[in-house]
Amino acid sequence: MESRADIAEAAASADPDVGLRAVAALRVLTERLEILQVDNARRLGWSWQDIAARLGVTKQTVHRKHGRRAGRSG
Amino acid sequence: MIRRRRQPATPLLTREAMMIQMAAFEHARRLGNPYVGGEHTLLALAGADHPAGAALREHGVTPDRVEDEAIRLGGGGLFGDLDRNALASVGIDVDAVRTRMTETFGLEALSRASHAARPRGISGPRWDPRRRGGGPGIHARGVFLPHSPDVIQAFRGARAEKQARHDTQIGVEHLTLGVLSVTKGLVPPILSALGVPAHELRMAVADRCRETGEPPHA
Repeated sequence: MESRADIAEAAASADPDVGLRAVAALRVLTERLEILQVDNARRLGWSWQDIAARLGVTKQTVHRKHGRRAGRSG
Repeated sequence: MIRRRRQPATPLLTREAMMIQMAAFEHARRLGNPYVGGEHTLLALAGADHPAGAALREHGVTPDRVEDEAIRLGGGGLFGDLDRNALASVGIDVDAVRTRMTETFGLEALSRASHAARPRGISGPRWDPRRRGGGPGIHARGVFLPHSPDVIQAFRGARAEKQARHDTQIGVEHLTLGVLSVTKGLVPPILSALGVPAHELRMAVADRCRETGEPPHA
């Protein structure tokens, strides 16, 4: 396990290995947070249109991605 | 069951070790994780009716405690597999994110979401494990869960233990020693949260299996 100082140094040295892994992990983290938030919004009765507007995508995109899972709860 | 590229004459795992794998698979399903990780294998071993499992329990590594830590550290599986060091390098503390999300939505919502969050490259229900490029994992009851990197590391360790002892198959003891040697994934933080150093556990497991005269491949 790297210490915080090691991590900071790795980030400062602009090592592509760390930087690219961070980008990949951020992408996954965003996906996971999106699932949690979309499910929550649907449970609270939000429309796909409202959810899509907040995410900055089209209604079709968000429905295609989450409709099958979160569609019934709302 | 365990997917391999070729089928050796003797199965790689003993029947008991195979059952540990299936128990780990069931734990992963139950906890809502889209992969079989070291934490699930450790959980299965801690509950095993085997000297290695008894040695783990004697040192406080009980199924209940392992499961509590796995859920606490893994956030119901939703954040457990993220590269926390890489995220820390851009200023994101995965533990803080997980704590906030768990407080806001509850573990159950996190677990539900992790069912939806499939491992990368796996598209969904239509995905057919037979068409995948031979990655390791467990396929049972119509579901394929890939092995996470720490399980692959544990198997490598187990195989080394098997060879060092000149055994023909990987048994529960080898698997336990392999899991206790991993450096990736949730097993090291779980053991440190339980306050049991891995090297002590390894010695205890090896001693216990020798004492009881349990052949490692039984």
